[in-house]
Amino acid sequence: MRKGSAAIIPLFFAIMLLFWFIWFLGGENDHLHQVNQLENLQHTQERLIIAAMRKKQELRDANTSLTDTQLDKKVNDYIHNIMILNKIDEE
Amino acid sequence: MKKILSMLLSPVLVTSLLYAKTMTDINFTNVPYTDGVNENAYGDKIMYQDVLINTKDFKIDNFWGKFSDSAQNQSNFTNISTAANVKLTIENSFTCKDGGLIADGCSGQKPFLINSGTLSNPDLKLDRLGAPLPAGEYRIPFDRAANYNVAHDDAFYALDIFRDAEYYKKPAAGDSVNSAKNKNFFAYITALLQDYFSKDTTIYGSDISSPEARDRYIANITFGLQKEYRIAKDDLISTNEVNTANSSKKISLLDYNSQIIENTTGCNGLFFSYDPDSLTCKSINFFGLSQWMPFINSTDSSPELKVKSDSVLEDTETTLLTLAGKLDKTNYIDAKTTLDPVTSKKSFIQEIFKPMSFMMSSMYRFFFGSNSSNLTEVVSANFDFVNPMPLTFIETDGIKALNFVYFELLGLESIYGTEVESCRVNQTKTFFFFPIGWDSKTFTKGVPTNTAFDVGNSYPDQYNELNITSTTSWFFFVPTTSYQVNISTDDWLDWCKRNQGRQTKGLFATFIDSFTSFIFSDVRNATYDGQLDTLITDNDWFVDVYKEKINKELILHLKNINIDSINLTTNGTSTKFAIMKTSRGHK
Repeated sequence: MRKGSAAIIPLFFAIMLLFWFIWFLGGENDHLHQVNQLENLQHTQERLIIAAMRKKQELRDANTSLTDTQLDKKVNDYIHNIMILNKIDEE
Repeated sequence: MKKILSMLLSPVLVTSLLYAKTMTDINFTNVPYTDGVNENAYGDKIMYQDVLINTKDFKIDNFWGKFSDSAQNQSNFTNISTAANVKLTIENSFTCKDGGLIADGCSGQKPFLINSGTLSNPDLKLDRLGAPLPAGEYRIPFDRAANYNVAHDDAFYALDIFRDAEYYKKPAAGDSVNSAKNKNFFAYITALLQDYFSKDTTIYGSDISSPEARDRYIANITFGLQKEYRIAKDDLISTNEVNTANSSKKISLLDYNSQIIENTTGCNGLFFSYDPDSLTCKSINFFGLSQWMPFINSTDSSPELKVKSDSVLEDTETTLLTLAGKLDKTNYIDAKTTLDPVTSKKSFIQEIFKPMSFMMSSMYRFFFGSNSSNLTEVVSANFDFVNPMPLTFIETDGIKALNFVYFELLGLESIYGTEVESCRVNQTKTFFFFPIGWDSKTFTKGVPTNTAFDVGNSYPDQYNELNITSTTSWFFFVPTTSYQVNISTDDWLDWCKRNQGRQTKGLFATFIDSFTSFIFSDVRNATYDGQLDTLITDNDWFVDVYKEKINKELILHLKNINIDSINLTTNGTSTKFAIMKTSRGHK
């Protein structure tokens, strides 16, 4: 072996560390992305609660003969459609 | 082998994991419930509801996971949910969402006021024939602010709240659509009516100028009081003054009355009528030709017809009819103006010519006040609504708002009543068919008179129902008793009322009458009225001018409801939602 070859070891570690760091950052990024997406979803959900209640009231005002179950079904469809537009729900 | 198996199975697993579709459900956990206090200070119903919104199989794509074995391409969350407790404020405002007003303009309160004893007044729990109404129902008449008295528990009144002149939505800069809209509220209401109903709907009184107070009142009545000036419990209400000043922002009674009067004079023939200002008409009257022209009636002796109606009353009626019509999808305004399909004139005044439908057994102070106690005949137009609109009245003791009273508007009655003012009678004295002179008397309601008719020296049996007095005089030492029948002002006015306007009787009725009198000419009348008629007619008196006033009244047919029975499904309410608290959960 050539003299001084042991010097490669810290370099090797440094490269390992760099790779680890890239791997770590990537994982953290995925994690943050996930948290972000969940937060977004829950914000959307929160905003949709009032919208859903309003929608139900509007539907009830428009057609008083609908039953509560039918209204709920229509509201569910409405919310599902909004979620599709928001690229959350799948068709 | 194991490797092959896993290679075969993994796509299935991944597929089933990936292709479980993301789906969001909303779940109204319970029916709205009241929690302790069910009413806020403004009289709105407060309810709560729990809502859960849940997203199933929510997937998030991971970028970096592609480079690692331990992470996945995609993360899947089975349930992501948000639960919320929502507060529902249910207001009795009906047209708020319609968009004509600025957002601050709407509240649920309608500007009607009743005294605290009104609901216990037994007179208001009777139907129009005097029979008791079902429990909880009332017929409450509208009264003028000038008549307001804390001690009078028999009417409702209009309140006035200042609105900062904001009766309509201000158009934004460059908004050409809204800029073209009417700024004046009355014009806005007209447009609203015409949009909902037909273009040929005429709105009563639309030709009179529209004072600020009037616009304000219609805005208040349609959309509720302006939010900034909503009335809370224990708020002071000034009932001993009437709000007229625009600058005054205090809550008080409203009493603008641009009086609406309709005159009908005209040369009405049986088949045609002339313009009363025309020369033909005037000459017919001047030369007394109508006596000889059976198909043209003289307007000389026909009463001048007037309808006195407070425009607050008209506005209340028109607005309530519009709102109820909108709720029922029926054109009540049109029904009101074209009640009589025979006449071509599209005016509600035509109702007056319809047969009197009933006699009122009792009416309210508006008619039977101290100076108008002789309302005799009543015509009424009734509207019963399919979907009763909620109305919130403010209950007062004359000083402050005590409480809110909730009603359903079941129906509305327009009532016309006539009130005698005066009568002028003429007598033609003849000598062998030749007129040799005339006499004239005028009787005014409230001025007592006595007219004595000498009826001879024997007791007049044919007038036994009337007021007979006798005087004894000594004539050549022989006592002679003569009898007089005394006729009072009220008798004269009654007679005038029965005998005026004979030309409106119609040919057929006249024919029947003369036929009857020809056959049964000498049958003695046993009734007071009949004897009075015989006496006065036999003395050749006839009605010259008969004046009576026609009043108009509005009665609301209401059903008192408890605030507990108001909910999301109540007609005509609008609900506001607010999230009280949320909680999140995920798996």
